[in-house]
Formats: sequence, C-alpha cells, structure tokens
Amino acid sequence: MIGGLAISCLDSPDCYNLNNSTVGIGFRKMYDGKADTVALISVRATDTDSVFYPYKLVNGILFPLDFTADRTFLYFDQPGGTRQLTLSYTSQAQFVSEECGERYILDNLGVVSHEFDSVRVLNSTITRDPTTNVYIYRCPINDRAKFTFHQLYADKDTVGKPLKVKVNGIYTDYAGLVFPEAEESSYRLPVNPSSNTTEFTFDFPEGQQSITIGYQQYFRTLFSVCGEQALYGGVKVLASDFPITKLRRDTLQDPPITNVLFQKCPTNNLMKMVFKKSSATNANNDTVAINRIRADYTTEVFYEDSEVTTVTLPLNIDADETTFTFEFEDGNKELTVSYVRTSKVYHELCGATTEMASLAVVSSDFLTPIKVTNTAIKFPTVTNLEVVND
Amino acid sequence: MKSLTINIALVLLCLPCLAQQEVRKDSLVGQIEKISYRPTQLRFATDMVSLVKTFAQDDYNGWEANLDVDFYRYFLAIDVGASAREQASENDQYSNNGTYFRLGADINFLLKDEDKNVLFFGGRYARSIFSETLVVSALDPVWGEFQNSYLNDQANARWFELTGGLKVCMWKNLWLGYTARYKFWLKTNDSPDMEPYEIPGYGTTNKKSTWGFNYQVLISIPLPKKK
Repeated sequence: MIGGLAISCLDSPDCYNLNNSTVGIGFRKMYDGKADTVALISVRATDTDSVFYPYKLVNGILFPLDFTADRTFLYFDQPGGTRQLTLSYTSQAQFVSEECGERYILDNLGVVSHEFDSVRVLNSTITRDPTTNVYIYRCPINDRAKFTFHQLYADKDTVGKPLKVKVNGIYTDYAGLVFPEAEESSYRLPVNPSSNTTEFTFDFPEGQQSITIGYQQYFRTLFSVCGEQALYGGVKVLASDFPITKLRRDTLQDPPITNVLFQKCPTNNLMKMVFKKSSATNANNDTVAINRIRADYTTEVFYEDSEVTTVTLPLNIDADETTFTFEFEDGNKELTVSYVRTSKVYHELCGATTEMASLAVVSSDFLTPIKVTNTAIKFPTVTNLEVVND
Repeated sequence: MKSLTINIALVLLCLPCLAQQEVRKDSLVGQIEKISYRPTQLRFATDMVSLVKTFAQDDYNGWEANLDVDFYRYFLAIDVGASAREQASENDQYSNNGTYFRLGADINFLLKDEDKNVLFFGGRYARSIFSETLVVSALDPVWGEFQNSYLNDQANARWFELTGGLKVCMWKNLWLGYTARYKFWLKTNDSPDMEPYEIPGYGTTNKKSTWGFNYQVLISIPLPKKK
C-alpha cells in the first residue's frame, strides 16, 4: 500500500504533445475505395499564415485543427483549383500541471461544408496519435490515357520491365503543356473531350516524338453524386513516332491501366569502364576529369567536360574493333578493344541484335595494363574494363 | 473493476446475516454471551495531512472532518471536507475550490484487542461539488497568440473508495490513526468548455484510479450504556 502511494506521487504527466488536435485526412477513389494520390500545391487554413504540404504528392495529410475555436476552414490548393473543407469539433481546455500548462481536448469531429465530390467522417474521435479521421473521395477521372515505357532485354521476355524516361514536358494538340518536366515510367494524359483524336508530343532531352490516338466518347452515370460522366472506349493508335508502340487496352479507366505501351529495344553494344586508383585488387574507384571521349566510327562526343568514375561507351556494331580517344587536361590517350560479334533475334520488332563477346584490349596508351573484368558485353551493362589513369 | 464491485456487494449483502448471534464462549462453563450491536461511542477526527498542507503550501487550503460510530465490529463512517487550490504555469492561471463528502462502512479485524484498537477495511461512496477557472495566455506556432478564460462552474463528481487503516487509542479518549484509500470509478459531469483538472477529495483527474492517505487525530465520545 505504501509502495502504491509512493509510486502515485512520482507519476507526473509528460508535457510533450498534449493536445489531440491533429486530424488525419485521407484521399480515396470513389471507384474502388482505394487510396488516391493527389497533387497538392499547398494546404492552408484561415487565421494562420502557415502553409502545409507545398508541392507534394500525397495519399493523405495530417493537419493541426484550431483548438482555440470550434471549427477550422481548410483550403486545398491543387493544379485544378482550390477546394474548401470546413471541419467542426468540440474543444475543451484542461489544466495539466504547473510544468506543462494547459492542453486542449478535441472531440466530436464533423464536416460542416466541402467542395469535393464526397467527404466521409471515418472517426469523429481525435486521438493524440493521429489516425485517419476523414476520407475525401473523388469521382472517377475517365479521360486519362496511360502511356507506359518498358525496356526490352536480350531474353525471351516480350513485355520487358518498366523504364523511367525523362521528359522536358508533354504537350497535346488541343491544350498545350499537360505534363511538366518529370522522369517516370508511365504518364497519364488527358484526351481531348471535344474531339475523337488527340496528338501527344513527348519532349525528350534527345528530341521530340509524337503519338496520335483515336477514341469514341459516351456518357454514363457511374455514381449519383458524380452525375453523368463522359467515358472513352474504342481507343486506337492512329500514328506513332515511337519504334515499338503496342495498344494494351482500348478503354480509358480509373484507376488507370496502361493503354499504350512503348518498348525500347535492348542496347547490346555498351562497354563499361571503371577508373581505379591503382591496379591492386579491391582498389578504390578514382574520379577522373575528362574533356571529352570520341570514337573512331562516329562524330558523336561522349562525356564532354565531365568528372566521372565510370564511363559507358558504345562499341561499333559494324566492326570487330573500336578505338576510343580520351581527351584529358594533360593530353590524349587512345584505347582500342576487339570483340567477337554474333547476330541474334530476341524480339522480332527489334530485329537482329548484335551480341558482342570475347572483349580484349588490342592497344592502350594508359601506362598500367588495363584489366578485363568481363569479356561479354551485356545489357544491363556490367563492368568490362578497370583502368588506371596514370 | 467489475469483479471488485461484485465482491464488495457480496460483503455488504452478508452483513444482515450476522444479526445478533449466540456465541458459546466457554463450552465447559455452558454460558452464552450475547453480542450487542448497540453503538458504544462516537469518534470525531480531523485529517492532519490537509492541515499541514494548508500551512505548508501557499497555494492550498483544505480541511477534512470524519465521524464514525460503531455497531459491534462494523463502523458507519462519514467524511466531509473542503479544499481550494491555485496554480500557475508560464501561460496559465488555474484555481479550484469545492466541497466533498464520503459515506461508507468499515469492518474491524481486531475484535479481541483489549485497548479496542481498530484495524479496519471498508468502502466509501464519495461526491464532490466544485468550481474551477483557467486563464490562458499563450503563443501557438500555427495559430498565433491567444487569450481565453474558462470556467467550470458547479461541476460535480462521484467516485468509490476502498479503505484500510489503523486507529490506536493513545490515552483515554484520544486516538491516532491513518487511512489509506484506493479511489476508483471516477465520473464527472460534462462541461462544454473545460475538462476538470482537480477534484476536492479525489485529486487530479489524469488517472482513472488513484491512492490517497489521511493521518488522523481522533476524539471518542462514549455513548451511554443501556441499563
């Protein structure tokens, strides 16, 4: 009994994070009830200058409610505009201790008004450890075509694997820029609702490529709260600058499923070199300053004004040897390699692929002999040569 | 908690069964001694802990008075008290004042003590009426500066207690004793603006159950015996 008294006297409240004023808001798709990824420019509230979640892609947010009032007016700034959500609750003050001061107990969360498609209160009790209290649902977005990039390899896999592709921007023939600079393996792009065709132009760093698709439009009411919506089917590829373009699904859906698949043929002539500090086994990598690298069969310049640890260089598929010239600050060095070429077809759409093996160093201006670590040229690349720049 | 309540109820239900009984004191003599439930004394007490706190702490005032009357080995106990407290933190000023009472019964387990000392266990039902105020002036990183006053007027609370302790006769009618209390099952009325922090007679509300301790000075007043 005395121990219990002693222990009760020692128990004092922890002052950290006393208020239970943080509300969790999740974004959901009405179509399947699953989490939705939403682009936010910011989340704001009246009576505060604070800005939350600037330029973020989120599935949900945590927001501190105004415990000095009984409602908080939230504003979600999104690329398509600003939407408002007003939450109400009861707020009770309580003295905690001389050390901690006061705390506020928020409860009975409710939605007063909103400008979203649908909002549901999942849990009106606001806990100290934030959980999801409110779900914001959006109606299906049915006018987006999904374009996916895949990389094919020197194997029998005809689908390939997702390939991240950098774009400077993506444009349409009716709305201009519809997607900003990004590096993704798939892009969801809006079709023209006033036409039966849309041309999409992908602005890659290495140039532009376009694709035109055709489709049919019809109207349905999928959810009463969403009203009648335009749906798209009968998608066809009318024209494409891409070497391999495959139509995978002829209806536009939400959640999105790939409509058009772009496949990139494997590149089997890439030789990878790594610079080392010495020729010893397990020597550390070396960072080397290069003015440029040239090859004897092309005018293309590689690694201009670069500091590199590794370089990946394309071998000449039309010859059994390739000579590279490395231009350093203190002079040039040449390297000639030889290899055995064989022709093989992995993917009909890619045609015959030149496979290279038995890589060997024919001549080298590098003082230290170059170590050949892998005689086969592979894709994805593997380290073929270890070079000491002495 | 539920099993504890049932156990207490069972104990209380058994009390009527122990009406005047005939006990065979000495089977060889063949005499039977009757137990009398007639009260023999009233005992008044005050809690020294409250008085010491009142004198030792500038921000606290409180007192408690106790009365018990014996029915053989059973005691009816009544406690009344009041307290007032003021506390201040960096941003807040808090004040609380109110009254409380407890009503309950104890059972003495030192029946054969010649000095009639008491080792008891029992239970109490307690209620409190109080009011509290909170004045806040603070700065929140998101919502900025704010000032507000909160009032919890005519708040009330009830709780239950399990008690245990000792009362020792020091000299004639002067007793000293202590009571340990396990307080539980607190319930307060709802206030829209403010959640209670401290309840007179109970303590702070941050715990669903808590312990308390009283150190008492008691004066007993014998009651006339039946002729």
